[in-house]
Amino acid sequence: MNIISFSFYAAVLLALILYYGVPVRFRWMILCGFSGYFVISANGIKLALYMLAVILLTYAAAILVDKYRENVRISRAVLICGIAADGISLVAMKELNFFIHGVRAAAGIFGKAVPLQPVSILAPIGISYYTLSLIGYLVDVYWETAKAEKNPLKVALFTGYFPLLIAGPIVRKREVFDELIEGQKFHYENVTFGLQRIVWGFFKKLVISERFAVIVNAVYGNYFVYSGLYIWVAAICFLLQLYTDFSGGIDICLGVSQLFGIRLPENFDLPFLSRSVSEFWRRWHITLGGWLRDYIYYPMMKSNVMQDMGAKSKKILGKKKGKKIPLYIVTLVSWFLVGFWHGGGWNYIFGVGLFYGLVIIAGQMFEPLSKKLIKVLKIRTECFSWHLFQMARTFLVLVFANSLFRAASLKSGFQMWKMAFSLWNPWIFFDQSLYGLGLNQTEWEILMFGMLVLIVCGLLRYFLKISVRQWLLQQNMLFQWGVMILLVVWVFVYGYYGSGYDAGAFIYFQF
Amino acid sequence: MKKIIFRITGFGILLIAALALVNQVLSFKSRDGLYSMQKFYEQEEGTVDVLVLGPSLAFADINTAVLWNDHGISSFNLAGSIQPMWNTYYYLKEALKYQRPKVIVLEASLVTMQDDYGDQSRIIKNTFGMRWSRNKVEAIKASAPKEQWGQYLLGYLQYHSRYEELLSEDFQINRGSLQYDNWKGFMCTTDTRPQEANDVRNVAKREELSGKTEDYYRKVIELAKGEEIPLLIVVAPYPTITEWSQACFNTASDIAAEYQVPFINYNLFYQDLDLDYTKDVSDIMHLNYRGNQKITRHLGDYLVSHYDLEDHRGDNAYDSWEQNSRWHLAEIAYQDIVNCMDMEQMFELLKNDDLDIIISVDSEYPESDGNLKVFLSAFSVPSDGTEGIWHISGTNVECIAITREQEQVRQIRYPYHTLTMKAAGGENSIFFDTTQYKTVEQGVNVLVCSKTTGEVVDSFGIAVYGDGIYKAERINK
Repeated sequence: MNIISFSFYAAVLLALILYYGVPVRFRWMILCGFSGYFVISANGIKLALYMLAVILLTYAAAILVDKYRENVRISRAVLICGIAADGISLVAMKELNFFIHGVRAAAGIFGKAVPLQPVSILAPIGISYYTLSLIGYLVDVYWETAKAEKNPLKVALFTGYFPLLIAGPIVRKREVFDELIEGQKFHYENVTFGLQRIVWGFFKKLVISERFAVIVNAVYGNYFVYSGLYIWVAAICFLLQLYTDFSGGIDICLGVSQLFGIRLPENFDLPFLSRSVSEFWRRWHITLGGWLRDYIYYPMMKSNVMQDMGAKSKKILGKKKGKKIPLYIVTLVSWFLVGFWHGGGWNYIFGVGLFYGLVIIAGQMFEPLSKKLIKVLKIRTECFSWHLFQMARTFLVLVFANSLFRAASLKSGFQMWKMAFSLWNPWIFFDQSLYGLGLNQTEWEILMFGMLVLIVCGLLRYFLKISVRQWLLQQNMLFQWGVMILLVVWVFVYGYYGSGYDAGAFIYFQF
Repeated sequence: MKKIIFRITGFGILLIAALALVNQVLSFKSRDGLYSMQKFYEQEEGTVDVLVLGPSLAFADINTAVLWNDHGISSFNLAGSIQPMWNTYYYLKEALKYQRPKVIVLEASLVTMQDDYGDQSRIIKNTFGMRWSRNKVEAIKASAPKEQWGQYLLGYLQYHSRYEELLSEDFQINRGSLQYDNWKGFMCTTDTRPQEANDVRNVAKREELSGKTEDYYRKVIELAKGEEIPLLIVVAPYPTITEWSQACFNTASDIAAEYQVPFINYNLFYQDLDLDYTKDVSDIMHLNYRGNQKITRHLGDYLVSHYDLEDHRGDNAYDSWEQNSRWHLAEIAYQDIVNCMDMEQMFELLKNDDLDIIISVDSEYPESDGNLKVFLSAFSVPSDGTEGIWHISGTNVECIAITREQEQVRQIRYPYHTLTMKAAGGENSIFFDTTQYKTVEQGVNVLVCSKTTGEVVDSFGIAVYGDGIYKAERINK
């Protein structure tokens, strides 16, 4: 079920009527039923059952972990089995071909042929999101930061709540469970805020992202034809496409959820105003970063293996350098997993994974040198210009990394960058060459105007701490309506949808 | 709770109103198929005596103005280009909900259609004009493959991106032209492109029609029969007809005979109607303003002699047919002016009370330039070298401005357009809306407009020491 289709909103309307029509204590059942319907209509019954089986397995593991809490060996064994089962269910469905290719390549080195062929598997919708939520839930029960839920349907609801299955966010039990299960009363503000959020998501996706997609597809589809600044333009456009597509999808999902009175955690916080890559990942796909930090990074850092390694490396490399070795290893492992979560291809593993890890490690390694340089050159660091420089530097790193993510393969990604530096062709900004990438002047103007609106709203929030939605709420009703109607009409007229467009596909749907 | 319901309702109403307005502006306005259906709905109930259905040959070749002017027949062309027989069927079904014609004329040249579906633009043209109804849904289902039904049923998906091609007609009622105030679906072509004729009179063989086409062809006949409305099937003449097409028409004629429905194939006797494909066609398929009058006169005679059709001329209830007829006949009559390059003949053609003639003397001219003197004298405009603008309407000659005097601006308003004459700073200008008409820099510029059509008929210039009339095409050559 496509979240920008009429059928989806007709179904949501029906679910809303039922939700607010039944007593509060039964409302979670409506959500559970509708989420089940959503999963079945998106996946078919077989995949829905597969998803249910994984949820039930995790549910049972959490019960057992809780039951055998006194016996650490048993509860730990159950925990590991549960995590392994969830992990395998994800990898088997999503990344099996990565291993098949790996085995074939390894065998090829030794001149052997392995009778393994890549397989085409259709994974359940939202598998990458709900699997992480399930693992997080199991670990939280083990850590006693969450209680094991006795009702399997309630576990199914908090991990498989339909707005979460589209593009996340990845939730933890404590963030949404109570709101989901307790049931929410009807509040006019929730409906208006929810609708505003949905329309804003549509605006980002249909007016902005789909236009960027035209340029990106033109260049990335035939990258060998383009060189120089064309590549730069396409790479920047892809980063902006990715942001407006992903955050637009999240806006829609959060908006739909808010219609039911349920607030889901935010996934974005003005990421392009980040001054470092680490900060960027605290502002971009926040829930994924948080999940990795809490369930991979910190536990690994605290693990005996890393502690031992730290001690040994201190002995060999000295205290200052040695203590950083476990940090670097954990960083690389974490970022490998981020990349691998996005997809079993080296363009994903490197482009949205290891590359960031390497940049962060390089940043830490060169930090003393950088500080020295700043001191020698007497650079002011507590001023706008320095912050702007840092933002621009981070943005460039993102442009490069994400272009590898978008490329058909890591090899073609690097090939593109080689071509990006092969020609200096600034005339493309003056001789209308850019119009040859699929958007004419009007379309570019619509795109730029849309971006301007987005940027102004972002800057108002960043510098003046003004939330446009809150500000709008303080205005007269007719003005609020006028702005909303204007936005709806804007999307209706200037949105890329309908005949000839496939705007239904969100980039992060595939995860 | 009341407050919330009020807010939601109020917002909903305003939102729907805004979207409806946007929808109206962005929707397709093509007169081909779409607009003819929309205008058909506006016809007074029970006024359409002859309903003409079919593809572009129906709307271009059968002249509703001639049928009215010659016989007082109130006819309407409910046609769309390359209209497949299934769309004709659903147009007929829909039309019969609103009118009960005395005769249905089916232009059947599209019995040759072999494809099961038309192209996207034809699907739109032949379905989007219909109001929401079961017939519309069925028409779309018949017109497009199943996987495309959604995008045609939700028509907005097809036209929401028209924001780049919006014109004034998208914002004005009746597309901003007097022609459409009383339009009856006839589209006159005024070009002339000589064609060589194929002679198919001796083709006797039969060619099988495509299954879907034959099925709907029979359905059209059976629907008319079922409604007990006489049906006349015609095939309009066109020069590029092939033997294969004629063989299809023979089959169509046989099927018509099965149902005792008269079938007239004009391709077999077009010479008898004095049709000349070197002068009477606008392209390889369609008759122009000369040709459509010839075939329509024959059709009109046939209709009045075979069916019980009333002459509605003089009846106020049918005034829209009178207005429609005037518009088209004026347009046709003025083609002589458009084609005229002879000054003497032009003097005669411009002697018409319906015309507003704007003469702008744009430069001094020597006494010895006879052409200019003769021209200006013929319209009683001073021929003493005075620069200025004159408006001639019938016998009335009015000086609008003298160029050397202070700035003068005068306007003549037509229902949908404005003619502006301005003399300032030693220069004259004539604008029709925002388009400036100036054919020659040195000499006299003339703009001719019609009160009946509310449009520009022609513009030309007479240059100093020129050799006659200059028109834009001549200068461009």
